[in-house]
Amino acid sequence: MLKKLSIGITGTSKGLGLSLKQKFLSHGHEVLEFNRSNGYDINNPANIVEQVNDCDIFINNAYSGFAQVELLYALTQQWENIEHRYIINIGSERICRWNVAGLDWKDAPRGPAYRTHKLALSESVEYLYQQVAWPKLMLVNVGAMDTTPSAYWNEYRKNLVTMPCDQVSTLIYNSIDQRDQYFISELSLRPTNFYKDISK
Amino acid sequence: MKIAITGGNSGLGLELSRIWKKHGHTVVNFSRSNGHNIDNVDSIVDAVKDFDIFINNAYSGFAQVDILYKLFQIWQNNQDKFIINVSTEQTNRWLQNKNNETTALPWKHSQRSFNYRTSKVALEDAQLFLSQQSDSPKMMMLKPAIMDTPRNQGFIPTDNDTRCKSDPVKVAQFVYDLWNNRKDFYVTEVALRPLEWY
Repeated sequence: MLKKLSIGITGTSKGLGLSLKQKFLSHGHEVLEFNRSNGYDINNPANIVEQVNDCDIFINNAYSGFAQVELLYALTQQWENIEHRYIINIGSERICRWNVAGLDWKDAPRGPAYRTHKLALSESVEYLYQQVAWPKLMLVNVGAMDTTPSAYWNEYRKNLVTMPCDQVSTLIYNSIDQRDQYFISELSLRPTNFYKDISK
Repeated sequence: MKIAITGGNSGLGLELSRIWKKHGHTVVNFSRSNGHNIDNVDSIVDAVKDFDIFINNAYSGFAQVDILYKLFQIWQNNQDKFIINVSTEQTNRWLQNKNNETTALPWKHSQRSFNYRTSKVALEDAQLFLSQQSDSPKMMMLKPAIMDTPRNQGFIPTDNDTRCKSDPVKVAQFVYDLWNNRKDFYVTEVALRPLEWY
């Protein structure tokens, strides 16, 4: 990317958010971070939307129920018809399947509603895309990352094939870099040995 | 590797053929121009089953779905096989423009265009369904926007004709890189959209 860009990212304290932050910083861009640790809560989108008003790209990464959907809606309104603005939404590969691999759906990590929240995010991206010419919206459906697990992940992760954060953030960075005549509006990823490992 | 592609003699199919060839792979094209018809599902499946990669590119009603289903049965649980299904970004939208007005988008008032979108939705659901039956073959759904190819000249009669079409050379390169970088994970779906529609 030639121009220096300003990127807003939620949830940069760990995982993919942290990796994306490092990726953009290493290419000389400016990153605005929104975490609970610096006083932001994605359940209050107004605060964040105000702060990212002048950003070029917003990465809607942190998850909290339907908060991502509301944040996407609020920012799309705020940025409507402003050219060359992009919102990257981090979804889940779980919307690409309707079984929870090897688990009772009630035991799925992050609770049974996780898939529903991410499906709503996917649907919102498709719907809003048809309403506005700008900002451009992108959805990236990722699997579990190879980051330090929090307590509720431990049981599930025993059998889980994870995705290296660095490879995924590189892919997202390269995809954003494609924008010219077209942009990448959706990417879904899947671990290479997904079913092999969960059947163990 | 050996790559079989349908409709590889024009448009995006041609550029996909070229990019794999450029990287030293063997590419064989199956299209009407050399005597093949994808509606003859069994003969296509039989002809491509010994290849490593199948690019399910040419469109003819539900033929892509039928070919995918039959080839998946033969390739099921074979870790070395890869299928790239070519769909369309049209499956991600159901309006014509932001005011729901009729614009020069492909499927307006046209049974042929309606059938096109419906068949592509079926193809995407078929991959989704099959991908939950087995870990392999690996599959990637490619959902391109309208390509800047001779066949699409004047297809969208707007003053931003070139701005709303994608360069097939660039798209083919991007898809090749996605495939080539597969390791701990791979890309199951990639959708493109033009920067300007409206």
